[in-house]
Amino acid sequence: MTEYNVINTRTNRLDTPDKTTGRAIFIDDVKKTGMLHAALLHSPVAHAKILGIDTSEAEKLPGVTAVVTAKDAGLTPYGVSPARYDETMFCHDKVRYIGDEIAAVAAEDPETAREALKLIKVEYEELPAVFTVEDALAKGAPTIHEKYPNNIGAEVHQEFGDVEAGFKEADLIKTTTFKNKRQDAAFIEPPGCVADYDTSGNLTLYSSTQVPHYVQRTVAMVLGLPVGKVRVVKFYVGGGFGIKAAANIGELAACLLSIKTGKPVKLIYSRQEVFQLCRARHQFTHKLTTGVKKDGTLTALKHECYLDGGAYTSFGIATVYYAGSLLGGPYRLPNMKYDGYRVYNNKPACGAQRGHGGVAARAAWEQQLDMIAEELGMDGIEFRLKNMMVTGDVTCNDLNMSSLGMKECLDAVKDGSDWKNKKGKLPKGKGIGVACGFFVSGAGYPIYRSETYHCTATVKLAEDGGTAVLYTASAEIGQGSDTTFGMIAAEALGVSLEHIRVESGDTDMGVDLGAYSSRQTLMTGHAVKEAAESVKQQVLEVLAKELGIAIEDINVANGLVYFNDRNVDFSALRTKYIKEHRGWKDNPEGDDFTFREASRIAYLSKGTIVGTGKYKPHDLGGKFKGAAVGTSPAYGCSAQVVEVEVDMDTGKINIEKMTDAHDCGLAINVTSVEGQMHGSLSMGMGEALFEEVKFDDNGKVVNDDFAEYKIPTALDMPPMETIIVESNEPNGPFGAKEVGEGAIMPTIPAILNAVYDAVGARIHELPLTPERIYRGMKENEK
Amino acid sequence: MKRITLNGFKEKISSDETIASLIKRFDEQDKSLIVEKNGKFVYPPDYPKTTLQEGDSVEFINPNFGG
Repeated sequence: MTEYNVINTRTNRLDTPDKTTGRAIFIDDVKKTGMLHAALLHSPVAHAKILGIDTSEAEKLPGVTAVVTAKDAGLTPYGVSPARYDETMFCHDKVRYIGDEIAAVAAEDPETAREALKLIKVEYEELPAVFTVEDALAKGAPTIHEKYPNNIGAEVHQEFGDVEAGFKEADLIKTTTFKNKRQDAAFIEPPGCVADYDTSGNLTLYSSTQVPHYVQRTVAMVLGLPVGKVRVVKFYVGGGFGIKAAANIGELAACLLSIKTGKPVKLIYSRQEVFQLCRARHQFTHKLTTGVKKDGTLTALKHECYLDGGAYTSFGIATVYYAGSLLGGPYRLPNMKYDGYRVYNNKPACGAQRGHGGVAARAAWEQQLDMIAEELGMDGIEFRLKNMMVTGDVTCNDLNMSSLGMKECLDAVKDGSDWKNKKGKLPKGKGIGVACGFFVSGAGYPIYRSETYHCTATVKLAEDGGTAVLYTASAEIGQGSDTTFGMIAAEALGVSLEHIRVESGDTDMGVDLGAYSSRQTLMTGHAVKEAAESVKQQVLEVLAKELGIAIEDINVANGLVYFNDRNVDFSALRTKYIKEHRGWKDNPEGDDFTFREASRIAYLSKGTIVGTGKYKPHDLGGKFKGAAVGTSPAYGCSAQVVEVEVDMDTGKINIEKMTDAHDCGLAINVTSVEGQMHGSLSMGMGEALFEEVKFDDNGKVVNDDFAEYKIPTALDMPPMETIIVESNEPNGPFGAKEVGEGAIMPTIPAILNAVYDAVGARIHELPLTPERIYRGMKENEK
Repeated sequence: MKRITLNGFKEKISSDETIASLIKRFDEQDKSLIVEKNGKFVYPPDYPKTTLQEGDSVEFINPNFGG
């Protein structure tokens, strides 16, 4: 039984009616009077000097309103981290990949805009290009960015403990290498926006984004506008997965064109542009060496990683960092050394994607751990449990597991999958595999160096007391955050969800860093809870004064006011309320005083009742357990068991069942938590089995549509059993923490380990195509 | 005194300033901090002996900025 009235239940999402009836507005639904349509001109070559750009013929085309290049945009560098602002809005001196942006056109219709692009003449002098990590690092390789002559755009080197001493203690040392492939996020809704620069000099950008706040700052910086003159608003978003977590060229170009023309400008990416311009998951190559004692105790990990970064840095500094740091847990590992390199080349840039930086590393290590367990004669689950961290443990790289239900997750999937009756007992061709993983619950720092609050929230009571409006600049991108925050506000206020209205995704509503890094439930949730509690406190203060009782003797739940003294006489206040509502049919009656009545009385006393909340990780130090400066205030964790059948003649894999247990601290909306778990399983399964962005010899994406780039649909998913583990995170609002990304971590390695169990071959490269499995089986026979 | 660029802004530092002393002076508490000098990674064991020259550019990067 839950102790809560609203949260920790299964609740229909607030966006369900809009989405199921077609009322939901997405960016391409937006139309403005006089609106122009924009298109981008991309480089057709991977690496070249720009000798000249002639837009004169395009400008003459009837219906064309404006053409802009770097001459109009200026050369203000931008990017994600200020330490790597390595992009400008348009290329001016050279292009670095097929797709790099040269110019943008605004016209009366999209067809004319695209036609005008063909009339822009660009003279290139082609340069040698490189498309792999190896070629980019080779002696004499062409330099992509002058500031980084060796093409290493970001690197991280860390050692915690004494790795060499750890290996000396080890009885078994195992080294493996592993490679994933570039994965497209494959969201259904391509990025798009409408920019509207009005006659007062205010710029409003409507965009399909995960991060209105960062987009607002980037647009203001690049276009030279005060932040207060730029407003970013998002409507419903058809998925983001990390790729929409930064300002993009489409947004910048549309804003520039709107300023130049004085008209609203719409720009929507094509699916081909998604593959070219959107920053997908990197290809990682991991080399891992792990030391372990005979009894299964881990002693050391040495880790080297190369990231195939593409032409620009995007989130790359964080990616290369997370690729190493997220192996610090969830096992007790006393010594860890990491050397990570992110390498530029002439392909489209990579960035952040669900499970940022950690997915391939986790797959590599969890498979290696399975190999070690087998060599030691230990069961994979037994081996993992022996090394498992528990609540209160701190990793060798200082990640504080302020709550960790990892052991409980493993126990749950062991029981849920009937592991003991299947492991080692399945016929050839059938297999079962297990893996674990964890992820941050919000980043410790904002993307730009700042002491900013990571989020603010405002709750305002309607003057009749019947509705509380929650304003948050957070981003509902399909994950259900509006409902989560509505539930948190309702619980904190003491009312039902139907009495909360949520307004979100607008920079006018406050500051919120956005939907990335699995941060919103914990971080925005704190701000929302604080704002709602403030409102409740203000109402109760007035009520206590009116009734002449102590505030400590009053509480609110389920929309009703409860008094410790049951003889409190509130009849005068009720009469006052009813007399203000002559003719109304729903005036309160009965023995209980309602929060609606109390709120109206408070309004009459104080005016509009508004409560605000705010949050940043550093504020938790001292107030909550173990939340000093660090990578994240909390960590979600997950264990999965996957069962497969492999066709021994063709290598084709059929996943028969997935059992997933995730520790989310406390499930605010149980249904949404399960939804995130399902989504993670689907995305992980796609990356494991068949997703790979492919390039031709010139650096052009060859499978840039959903006919050629395959992703799993609902029809591809096997039976999934999802088990929620609740560890009550002390740094989370009501004990909640992440589920959005941690749940993807074990999926790929659980599949890898199941495939090995089925066919006896270890596969160290993704995706697990039938050909790769078949070759693995044949190699194994030798 | 020397003039350097720290995180994109001009700073005056004393002649004997090192990366280690700079971290202390600016109260950088992030244990995951990445330090770059003139675009090159500085290994943490080298912080105390990495001195700074007139015109150097130093970046303190908190890599745990999410994504």
